[in-house]
Amino acid sequence: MSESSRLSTLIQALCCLPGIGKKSAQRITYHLLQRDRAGAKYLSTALDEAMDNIGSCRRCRNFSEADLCDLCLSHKRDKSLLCIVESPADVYAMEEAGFNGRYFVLMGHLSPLDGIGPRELGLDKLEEYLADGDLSELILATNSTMEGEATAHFINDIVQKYQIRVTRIAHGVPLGGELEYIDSNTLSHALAGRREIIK
Amino acid sequence: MRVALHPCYILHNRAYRETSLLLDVFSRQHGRVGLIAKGGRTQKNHKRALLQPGRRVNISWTARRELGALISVEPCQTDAPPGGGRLLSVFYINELLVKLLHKHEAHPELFDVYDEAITGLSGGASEQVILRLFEKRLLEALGYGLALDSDVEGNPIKPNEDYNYRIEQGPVLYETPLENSVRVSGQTLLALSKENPGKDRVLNEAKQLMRMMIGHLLGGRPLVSRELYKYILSTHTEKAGRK
Repeated sequence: MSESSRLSTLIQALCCLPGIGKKSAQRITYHLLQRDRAGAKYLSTALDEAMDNIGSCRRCRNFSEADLCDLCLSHKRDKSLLCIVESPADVYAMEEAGFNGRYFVLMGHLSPLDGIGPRELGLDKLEEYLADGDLSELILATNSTMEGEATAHFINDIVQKYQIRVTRIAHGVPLGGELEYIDSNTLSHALAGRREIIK
Repeated sequence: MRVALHPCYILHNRAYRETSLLLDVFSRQHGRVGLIAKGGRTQKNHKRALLQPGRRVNISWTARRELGALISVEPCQTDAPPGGGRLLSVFYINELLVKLLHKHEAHPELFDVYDEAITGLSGGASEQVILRLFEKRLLEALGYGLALDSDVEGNPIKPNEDYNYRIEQGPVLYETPLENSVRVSGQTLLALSKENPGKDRVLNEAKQLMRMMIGHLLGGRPLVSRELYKYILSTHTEKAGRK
């Protein structure tokens, strides 16, 4: 049984989605053809529009349709705080956590073995940002991995000349976590970063 | 082949598919091996904290073909891994190993050298000294050990003379600058031979020497981690210039 070429092209195309293998792609294709052709049309135009129109923000490098993104343009946000994150998904996570400053998105972390250095992370743009902004604090919210940590220290090193307060987000015991099950490294971080109980 | 809990370091990890990790592992008895850690990136997975470069761990894995599968990983009781600015040095030595070692080539002595370097980087010892000694011993392990005690003609190195260290040959008494060679003092060669490169001049000359030797072994491939040092250095000199 050979499938028509358009059908197999669609199945192959769907495989580019994360977590979608051949079997799932086939299932999605048959579902769309059999039951939801209108939905599929809508999806294809939405995809097309998004790919043609979404670029990145000139200032923070996050995805944006305009030259500057909504977060950078908003007057309600605290301009004196800048939070550095690795990916747009991290911006979303920080928003959920109630952060009200601005962001700078690195789109990755330093990783020499993958060929990712300071230029790939747009650190020259970050320096431009720092040079003309009136920031009071730079918050380094890169991941708590070895690469994230190295990136945070690297950025700290190169922004020293701007004399801005640089902070790193805390890491340690998660909410609801039990010490017994936490790895020793995390616990030693938590212990090193301990602080007095706020009365 | 199944390997039971075996001392290893992760040299590099990379996201693979939705929840897995691809690991480049440096093991004591089996050299560099590629492993896949299935589900290594899921939220519930506690292994993730252990699968970071710069941390000594014990790993079990099975390997039928080129790529093995991680079975379990356990922490090894050692000091805390290197942190802060010293992570750049971890990047550097990891990049050297990945680019210069072939897979599945056992180098137990080099593993111990690496282990010592990482332990040194977690402590307070001089970063420059650790890196120079690591480079020297790496060259030895790869079969390109430096000739440090006598010159090409077999005469012992004199501390007060200057030498041209020529790639693939060794030191010759310095007369004029030569191509594919670097000028080093006899003192530097002897200090490297005794593994005691403490002085600034020795460290600077040793750095030039190692840079030439490693550059030769890499055959023109650039080291991205060296770019990181350069970038930091350039921002610092810019700062000094502004003052």
